Amino acid sequence: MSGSAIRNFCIIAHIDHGKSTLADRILEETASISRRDMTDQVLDSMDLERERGITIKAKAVRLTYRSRSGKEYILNLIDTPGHVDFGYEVSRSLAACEGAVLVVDASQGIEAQTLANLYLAMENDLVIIPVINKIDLPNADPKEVSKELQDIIGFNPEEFIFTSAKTGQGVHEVLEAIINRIPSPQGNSDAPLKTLIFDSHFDSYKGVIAYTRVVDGCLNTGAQIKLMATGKVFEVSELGVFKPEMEETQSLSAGEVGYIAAGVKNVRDIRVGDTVTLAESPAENPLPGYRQVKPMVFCGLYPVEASGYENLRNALTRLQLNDASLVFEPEVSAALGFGFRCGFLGLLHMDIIQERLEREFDLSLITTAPSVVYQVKTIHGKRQEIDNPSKFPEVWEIQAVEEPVVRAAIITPADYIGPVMELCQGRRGEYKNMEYLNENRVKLTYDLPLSEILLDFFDKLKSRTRGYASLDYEYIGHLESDLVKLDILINGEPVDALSCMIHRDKAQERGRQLAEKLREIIPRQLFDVPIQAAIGAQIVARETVRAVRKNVLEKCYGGDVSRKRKLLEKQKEGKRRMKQLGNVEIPQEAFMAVLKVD
Amino acid sequence: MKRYIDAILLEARIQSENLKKQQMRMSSVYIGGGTPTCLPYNLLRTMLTGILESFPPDINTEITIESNPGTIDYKNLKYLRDSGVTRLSIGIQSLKDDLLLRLHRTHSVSDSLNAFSIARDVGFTNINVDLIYGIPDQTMKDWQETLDAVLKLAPEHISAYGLMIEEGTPLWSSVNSGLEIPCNEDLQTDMYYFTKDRLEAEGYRHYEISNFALPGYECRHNMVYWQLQPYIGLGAGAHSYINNVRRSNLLDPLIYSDSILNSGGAVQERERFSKADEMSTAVIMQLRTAQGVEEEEFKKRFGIAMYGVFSDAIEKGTARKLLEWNKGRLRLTRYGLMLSNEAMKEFL
Repeated sequence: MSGSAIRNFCIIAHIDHGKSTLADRILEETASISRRDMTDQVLDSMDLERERGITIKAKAVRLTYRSRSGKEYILNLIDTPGHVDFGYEVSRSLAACEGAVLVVDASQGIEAQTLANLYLAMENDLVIIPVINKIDLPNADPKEVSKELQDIIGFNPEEFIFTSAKTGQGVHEVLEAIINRIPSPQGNSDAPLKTLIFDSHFDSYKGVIAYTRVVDGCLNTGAQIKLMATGKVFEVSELGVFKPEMEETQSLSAGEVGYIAAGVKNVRDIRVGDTVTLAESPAENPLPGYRQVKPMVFCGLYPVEASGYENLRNALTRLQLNDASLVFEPEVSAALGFGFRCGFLGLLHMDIIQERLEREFDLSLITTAPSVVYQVKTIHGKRQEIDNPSKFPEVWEIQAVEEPVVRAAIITPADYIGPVMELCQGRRGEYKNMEYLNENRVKLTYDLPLSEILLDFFDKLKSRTRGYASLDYEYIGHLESDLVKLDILINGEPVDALSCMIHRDKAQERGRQLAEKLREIIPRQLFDVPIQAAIGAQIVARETVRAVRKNVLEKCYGGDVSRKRKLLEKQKEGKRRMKQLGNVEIPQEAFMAVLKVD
Repeated sequence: MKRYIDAILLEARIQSENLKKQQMRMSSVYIGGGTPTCLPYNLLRTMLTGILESFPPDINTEITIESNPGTIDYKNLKYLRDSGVTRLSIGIQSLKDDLLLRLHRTHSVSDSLNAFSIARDVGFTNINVDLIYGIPDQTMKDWQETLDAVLKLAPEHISAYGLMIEEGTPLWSSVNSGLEIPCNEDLQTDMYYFTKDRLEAEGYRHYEISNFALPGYECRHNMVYWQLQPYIGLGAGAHSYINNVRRSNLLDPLIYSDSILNSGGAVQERERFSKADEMSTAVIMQLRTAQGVEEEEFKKRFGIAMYGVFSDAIEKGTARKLLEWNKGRLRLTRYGLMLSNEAMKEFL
């Protein structure tokens, strides 16, 4: 297939703006999927993706399209995740494309993450096709939305395509625009091989399957390939394209998108962002890669039963095969025993990993409150990175603590500027900028400590703006801050898994809330259980779980014997699911209490 | 209703034959399940006569019948007493009219007092009254007054239960919708220990978690349950325990009757206790009683030392002051009475 008949593109859209439906329609139009195999959201193959309506992994599919002029084209659609946690995956997808279809809901307007991804696409010199979708909705205002996009980005009015992916209206126009406006890939099939790895997954039979976009040259089955970053050499055992199922081909040449299998057992040997070349006639320089992704959020994952430790390790290892951004290492907690400290891109990522561990691997887990990575300077002049509050040096050893700060962009209807600013200020936000996208919509920019938006910031933002606001953020650096470690003592004993880092001004309030929440969560024991929050040696809050006085089945006669046994068994079972800390039994959800305070 | 009584009597005849085969004797009969005295007089007669025919009593047999104050009159009580019923249980529940209303009971305080005096008039010398405390809005003073009034009646036996708000009852729905606030645990516990102290001071023995009796008037029938001795339940939903097999009858009276009359049986569930189940259940049930579990007796019954089987549970219970040893008997402490589940679950 000559390069001139190839178009590589992605779709940029906010959650719910209709990306998956549009992709489904495009797949139908190009007959890549038979009606029989058509399920909703074909590209979102994980159950979790379909349930949550999000894309987690980047994916690719190769389509054949006969244009109105009668010429046949190959279209490679590379799916992009829409959530801020997965911004890194977006940038990988973009690098494999020449164009992007921007999908905006005709009743909603552009959202913060979409805008961020759009700027990313423009930085990558992608041709943008603006599509206003859902024009069939009664409250659609395509004109207003297109005007907003003209004002922000500078599109021309005639560039817009108006669609309803639901009814199929306008889908043909989108396909025509893809072949007419997006340039064909500009690679040279005769040059030394350069092919970019933009994603991978692990297949238990074939090993690592690397998703790749060939930039220059040509690759054949059986070739010796070299990974330019690691220098490792492998023999290609299989090449192919996604239709969307994997379909084997003999070669991939400049401009094409497909997969490489080379019997690689370790996902780390084929790093996403690396360039593949031929071992015999290598290219001189690799393609520009991606910045190494760093996990931003950490938490402890512990098996409920100590015996589940090995299973948890195996499950994490399995997930990591498909998700290089997941990191973990063993840790020991006095309260929870053996577990793992795990790093994630963000809260959604953490949530998804937890859910997959529980669902796909049938594990019961205790999760500790999420933490960011702090940089601590000690009086000895040492610098340490600390991702677990319980690992903090003693107060007197600390000279300064730096915490990660993000620049957050919030798009909100102008009516809610006040509440949004109030929220940001309350989270130690520093105002940066305010920009009217049109008369009614505003983009606010704040610098915020990552820890402040980790827990419930997004929910609060949504509720203060009646669900209209959207949020995007990027890490901008670590800044010094007056942080203290808040410890929780239960029955006089500090519980390492409940410690958290917090700004000094908020410590007392948070301590009070946590103690109160824990009092609600911890069941009454046979004795009074004091719950204290402390900064160093200073107690800042105290609550007491009063001793239980009554646990008895008062009526117990001939017909009650089975009932009695069942009741006792149930109580015993409930107890088994608790963690024993000293004499106190603590339910698992206590370790997530910090997520539940308002 | 007639059909249901026929079914019960048929079941009684069948079970009586089984007993004879196993050479077992009946030591007590208990006619309960709420309000058998609400039966029309002639049916009550049919039932009692039939049951006593199948299980002929002797001089020592305890025969109890439950009753509700609103369903008692001189004629039926006289009949019951004359036919050999030795013990009457009256569901007085409370001696405050507003609290009876709260419990959705249809009888009044004067019904109760009246019933009690009729019972004495016809010659009952062994009367139990059932009481409930911890009713929404009930104060400690209310409860003390009810106890005082009950003591004036001088019943031989008193069962006092903390109110359990059970799913599906009218009270449950009012509590659920916030119309009623349930009695708090602390007050209920205080009422429990007040009852214990008050009744003991009046000469009653606190012989089981919720039961008090003047010496010699402990309910022999209920002791059978708490000793995990064999018993036979007749009627819909009734439970039996015999030869280490627990079984329960079909719950619906109509279906139960059809099944008994057509096939001679109406078992819904049957469960054979393993020896381990039997041992733990015996300990759990016996711990309910003031005498507790006697080590020697346990060894005789199961051929193994109790401590050998349950050392962890016993050590944990005694360490937590829920259990104590008293002359070779393991029993609940005063503190452990209201926390007995905490101690008992360790035996499972």
